[in-house]
Amino acid sequence: MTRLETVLESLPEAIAWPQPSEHMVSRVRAQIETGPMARPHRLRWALAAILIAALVVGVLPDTRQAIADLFREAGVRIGFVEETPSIDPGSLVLGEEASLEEARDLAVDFELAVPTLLGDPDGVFIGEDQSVSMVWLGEAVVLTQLVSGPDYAQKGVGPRTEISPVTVDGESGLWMEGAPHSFTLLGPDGEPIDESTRLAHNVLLWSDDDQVWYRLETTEGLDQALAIAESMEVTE
Amino acid sequence: MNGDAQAFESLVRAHQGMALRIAYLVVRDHSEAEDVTQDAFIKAHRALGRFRRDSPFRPWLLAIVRNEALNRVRSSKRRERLVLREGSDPVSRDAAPSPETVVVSDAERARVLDAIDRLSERHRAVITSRFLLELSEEETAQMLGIPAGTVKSRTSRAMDHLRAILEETET
Repeated sequence: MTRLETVLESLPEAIAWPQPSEHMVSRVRAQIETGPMARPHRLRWALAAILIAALVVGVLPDTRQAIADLFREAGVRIGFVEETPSIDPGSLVLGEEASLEEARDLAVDFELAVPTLLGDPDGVFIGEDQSVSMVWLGEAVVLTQLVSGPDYAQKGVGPRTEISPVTVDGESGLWMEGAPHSFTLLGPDGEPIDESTRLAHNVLLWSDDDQVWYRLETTEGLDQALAIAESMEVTE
Repeated sequence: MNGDAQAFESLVRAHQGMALRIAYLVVRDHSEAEDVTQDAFIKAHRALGRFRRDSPFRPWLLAIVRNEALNRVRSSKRRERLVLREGSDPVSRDAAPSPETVVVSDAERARVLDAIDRLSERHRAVITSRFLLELSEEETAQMLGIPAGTVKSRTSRAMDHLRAILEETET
């Protein structure tokens, strides 16, 4: 064992840790027994994605396989469609609405980042897969963050979609352009909220070396998407 | 008291020691660490519905404690030093240790703790989890939300950095 390891192993015994107490147990119990804090009324919004596909052009089979393999590990299944699929809105539920602070506390798998370029989102949602999605209505941007898991998203890439590898903050990513799909916000009764339908043509997908995956949907082009992505910061 | 609160009380009893340590490593103040731990337990209780039953409870809880602590200190840039117990220095207890005894002085410990504080946040997180909290690689991975393989490689890189910092500060 090296000297450094010896010193490190002596540390737990030497640090003056705070000590457990019955006081802590009773304080927690008292707070739990007063009942859950009243939660504000929550809309259960949902995101419905509709893919539109036409003719197959421009994506060679080898490239398709490479891209599919690249993202399979992240739980993102990319399927290439050669014919127009029957339209199935396949409502992709973003999750339960939360405040940014709640999302930070409950997204226990990673540190939540917000793009400073966009500021605070109009809506924040925590998914059952522990993903956190943020929605900016004005800019028509949906940003989802999660640690790679098996059930993230299934993404059909239509034939008109151009896919290019990109670098986001030094990490490799993928830019999918020209895949128009719409998302609609649904109210608590499951009905679409008027005028909430937005089009998102483009998707930027990347991960950092903590294995956190980011998926940014936007109507803007690559430059703006990269600017948004690179402005992401873990903030208070 | 209902069964739910009773069951949760036993979880608090079982895990508060480790929770307090994690909070203390981040906030560096005993009473602040107690507040953080208490709030984290309340939040964990509220979030029990989100807990995945097939995954271990402890790292899930510890991640909530860590996030709660990080949220408290993000605004303050200054980090207090970790405090060593009085009399933990073996020299003060045993003036003539046998040659076989590995003697580590408090000065040496303090130097390593200072070096740990100079690591990047992600490197400090793996070093403190593995060595100061004595969590397994797996628990560290679950608490930090990264794959176990990443914990291994990151710990190794963090150790390299730690050695480099110590060499740099050697007088």
